[in-house]
Amino acid sequence: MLGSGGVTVMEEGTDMVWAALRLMEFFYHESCGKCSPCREGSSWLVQTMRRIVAKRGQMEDLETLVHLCKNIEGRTVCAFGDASVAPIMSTLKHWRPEYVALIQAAEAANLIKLEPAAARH
Amino acid sequence: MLKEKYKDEIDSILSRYPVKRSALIPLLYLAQRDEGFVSEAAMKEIAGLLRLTPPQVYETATFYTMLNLKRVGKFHLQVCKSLMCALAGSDTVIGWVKTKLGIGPGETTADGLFTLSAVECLAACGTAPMMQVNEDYYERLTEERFDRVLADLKRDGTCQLKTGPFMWPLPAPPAR
Amino acid sequence: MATTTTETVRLTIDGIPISVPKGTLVIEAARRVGVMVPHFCYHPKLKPDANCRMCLVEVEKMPKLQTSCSTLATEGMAVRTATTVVHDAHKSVLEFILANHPLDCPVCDQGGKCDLQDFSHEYTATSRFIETKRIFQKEYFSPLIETQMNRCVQCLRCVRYCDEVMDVKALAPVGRGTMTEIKSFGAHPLDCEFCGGCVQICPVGAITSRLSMYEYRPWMLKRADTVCTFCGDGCQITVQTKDQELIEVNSAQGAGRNSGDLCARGFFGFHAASHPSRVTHPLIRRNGVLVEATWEEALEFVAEQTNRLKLAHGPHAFGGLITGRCTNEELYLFQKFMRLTIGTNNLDSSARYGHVNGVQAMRMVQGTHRWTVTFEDIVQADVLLLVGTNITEANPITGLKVKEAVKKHGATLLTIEAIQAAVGTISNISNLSEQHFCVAPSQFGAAVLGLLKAVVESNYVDSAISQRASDYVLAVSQAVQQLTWNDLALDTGISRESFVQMAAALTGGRRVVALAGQTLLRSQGSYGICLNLLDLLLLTGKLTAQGCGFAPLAEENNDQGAVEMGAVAALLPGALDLTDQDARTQIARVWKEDLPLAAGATLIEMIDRAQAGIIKGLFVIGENPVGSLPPQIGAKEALGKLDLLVCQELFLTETAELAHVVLPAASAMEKAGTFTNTEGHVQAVRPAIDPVGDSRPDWEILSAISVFMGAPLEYSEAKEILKEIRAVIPGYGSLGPSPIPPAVDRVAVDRYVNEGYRQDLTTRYTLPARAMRPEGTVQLGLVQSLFHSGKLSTHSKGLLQIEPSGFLQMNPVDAARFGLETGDRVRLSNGRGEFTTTAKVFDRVPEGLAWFPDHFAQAALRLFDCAVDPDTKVPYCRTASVSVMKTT
Repeated sequence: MLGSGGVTVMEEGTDMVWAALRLMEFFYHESCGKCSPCREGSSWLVQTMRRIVAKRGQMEDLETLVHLCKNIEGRTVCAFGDASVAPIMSTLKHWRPEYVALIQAAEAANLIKLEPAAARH
Repeated sequence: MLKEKYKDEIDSILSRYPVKRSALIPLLYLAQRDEGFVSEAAMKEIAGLLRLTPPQVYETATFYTMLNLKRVGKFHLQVCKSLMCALAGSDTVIGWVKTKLGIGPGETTADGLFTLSAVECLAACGTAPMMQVNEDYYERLTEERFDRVLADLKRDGTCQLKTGPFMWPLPAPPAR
Repeated sequence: MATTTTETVRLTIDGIPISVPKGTLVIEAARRVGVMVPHFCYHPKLKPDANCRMCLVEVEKMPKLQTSCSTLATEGMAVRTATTVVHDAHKSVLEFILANHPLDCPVCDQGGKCDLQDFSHEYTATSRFIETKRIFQKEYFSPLIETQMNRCVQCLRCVRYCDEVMDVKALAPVGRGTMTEIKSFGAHPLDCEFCGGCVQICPVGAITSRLSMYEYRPWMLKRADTVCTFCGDGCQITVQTKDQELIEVNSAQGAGRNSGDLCARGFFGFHAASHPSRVTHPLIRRNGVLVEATWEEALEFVAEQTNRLKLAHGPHAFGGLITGRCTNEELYLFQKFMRLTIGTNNLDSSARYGHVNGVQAMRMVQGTHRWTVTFEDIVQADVLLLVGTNITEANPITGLKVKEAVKKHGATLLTIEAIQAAVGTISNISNLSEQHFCVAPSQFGAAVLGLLKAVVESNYVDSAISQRASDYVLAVSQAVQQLTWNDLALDTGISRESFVQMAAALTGGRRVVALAGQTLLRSQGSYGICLNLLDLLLLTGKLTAQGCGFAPLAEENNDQGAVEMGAVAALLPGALDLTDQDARTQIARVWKEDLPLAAGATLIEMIDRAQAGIIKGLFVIGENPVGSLPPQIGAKEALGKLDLLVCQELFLTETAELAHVVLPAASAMEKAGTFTNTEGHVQAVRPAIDPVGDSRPDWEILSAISVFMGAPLEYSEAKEILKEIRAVIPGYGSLGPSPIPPAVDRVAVDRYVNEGYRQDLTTRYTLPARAMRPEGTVQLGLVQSLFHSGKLSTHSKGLLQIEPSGFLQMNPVDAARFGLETGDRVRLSNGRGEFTTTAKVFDRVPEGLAWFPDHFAQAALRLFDCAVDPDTKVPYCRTASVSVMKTT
């Protein structure tokens, strides 16, 4: 289950993490911002996903992603929040090795130089 | 002033809704059609027409991305970048825009003709990749079709390849 | 309509059983058993929005966690707030809310009183957020209100408050998703009522006051709960100070008659007391110049001169004026000083400017000097009639009660106001009206007569009153039959059908409250119009019914107290007639001395007598007749002739500049006592700071003068005076959480319908002169601004930021007629003089009228004439016909 009930046929070899990010980008854009878990969660998820796809992820991110998804699910005003976590939850379940590969690539390249999260003002 | 220019149309929009405020989005579209974007003056005027405060109009106008709050080019290219189009090559379409017109998302050509926006799903997944130019859809884009759209738009202001949008109510058939 | 259900439901919260009224939210039920469910977006004043998701709780038999702020308590419900599941949910939602929140507590003014900070401590929140935080670019700075949108948690309390409570709608959530920002319009600074509601209701530091920016931490401040002095509503304010410096004012949610709501004056106007131009030392005129003196010198001078004049010319050569901003204790002591120490009834207060009209009308018809209703009755009314109130500006918090009745409970609002319905930057009560008559102040009387005629002709007269007082009903019926619908339509522009429609709505109401406001009370003929309004209620059976009544709104914070303390010429403490023998006996027993019987002079009469050389000495406490009355009255010349003018003042006003002695008085921020608000509720005033400079409370000054005169009225503190007030007026002041209103006095009503009405019925039921408006002229009206109160607020730096000066406010149609645009210079003139100012086009001003704020009107006063009410001696000087000319 990747989201909104449609059937999508993808070519073998499609980067599923990238696909999940594209879907997450859509949900992030569509989140109206009324309730906190969906508003903040979608922006958080999309940022983490972008980092992983850009090969700047770390192993802890995978656990965080799952937690965030679970914390959004069932706690929002409408069902959009529930739907928005489906792409990440499903891809993590079925294509976890793709995530791991991206992170291992990141670790190998020693690119993890995360900036502290403090606000810039 | 919209009121003077589109009196009949505004009256007809207002007559469609039992609650005045409901006419907000149609009126914002009207304003956008008039100037190409929704200006502050238009938002204030619409607020007056609907007995709302300008912040209430601004709230709605900023929520919907199909309403432009800044001036855009004569042709607003909105390329879908959601998953289905992305699988079918929307990044390539954005690349064509960059090479052929020299603009990236959010930019406008120097001649003021084209503005590019990368947008989320426009509900034409079956005919991806696609883009919307102003009110019209151009689907199953190939480089050849894309070039023709640009050329036609530049020359004629429109292009025969357009396929939509299919909105309700359907436009009345031309009178015989 | 108000729903007062007694049905209850039983439920358990964490195993604790509780029974609550049906319709109670789970979060409120939990609060009742002492369980605080964490929340951001929930607020008792607002409709549930359930957007922050912080208040999730477990409810038995429900599959998912529920938001307790939007779930109604139902019979047999079992709620659990302290389970691991709930705790984890709270912690996770908090983690989301904190994700984009900056860690800037050290520089945030909310630090120490921030819900987010408190909950973070409670849940020992840690964040796994390592992405980039959202940042909003600051595009503008609003006056008085600082917005730091990076701190915003998007609970929308401010937006909802601005709409649901204030009806201003100046704030909106702009954009979408995580980039949602609270803004007004585009990159424009906030332009609104500046009620400070958004500052008070923001749970974090996103919206704060600029007046106290970076000044303090909450625990550094001293607090004093006192009462605001900027109108008659009597709002409770908490004044916060640091080392004798006024830092901030707020009002706790649910506190006082305002239940924590304030207006711009209350929230941002507090700096008036600490203005550098305060008079801080006694001043004595020597060689024509006011020079500093010691208290001993000044008091000795006053006492000596007073005794000398009294010996030479008798007690009636004195007069006294006091402002309704003083405490009850001071008003009481002032009239005692005048009546006992001096020996005259020549005394008056600012209640004379209008409030006396409403009070005397109530005394005449219903035998009370107070409302028979309360703010709660306004909120619960099903029909409200507003006549000449300009309520959202003159009495903003009573205005909130009206808004609550209409917006929350669906009351029918009927308005007769000199305001045009229009959406603007500040709220406009006529936007909420079911039926609105926009008429000029000069035609309020005609509009009320139209309603009376409609009531009579449509047979809406209550059968009980027809039976009980057939003569009275007949007399009124005959009187209204003399009026023609045609004349009424010409005067008011309102058709018979509209009058009948409004009369029907009024008659159909179960709980009807009629409010009369400042615009009416200060317009010519207003005493008669108030009586006619009372007739209207009486005839429709709405005067004596439960929850119904007449409510004239006081302008000054203690105008009602001034009347009740007897600080007006014709009334004794308890608002009893000067000639009332029982009252005189009672007072004489307490005072151990008889009080003078000779009728006293009122405000204008005192000025006339000073002009004629009859009054030679005048005590003026906080009043400024020279600055407030049109020069046509000749107050300046009259006061110039006095042998002794003593002013107790905060500032060197136009009147004080003429004084022989100026005694520095303490402001309400610096003294203790009580104020009586417009609904007759007596509330405690507490000092927030020490008296500025050498200033002293007015009661202390009066007491000191009496001591120096050798006839001491000695009290060690204000409370002792209150004790004496209670001896004179048994049980005065409830000082409880809400007032207990008096009931209509049946005997008085009988007296009125049998006899009283005959006095002036024919005069009252005559149409006022039709407003003539020659080409090129407008009716200029002096009005109350939302951002000012009298002249006092013009010393408040906060309020001056919003409204620094006066503008001629004019309807767009009129403005176009005169070729004027906002910002143009305009000259106003008539036979009495001319005045140049700046124009401002304003939708809410009715066509044919123009407004100028009273607070900046000194130079405009020369355009106005003054008519004095034959019955109540109220000076009417707020409208003038003027020619308008654009100038450069």
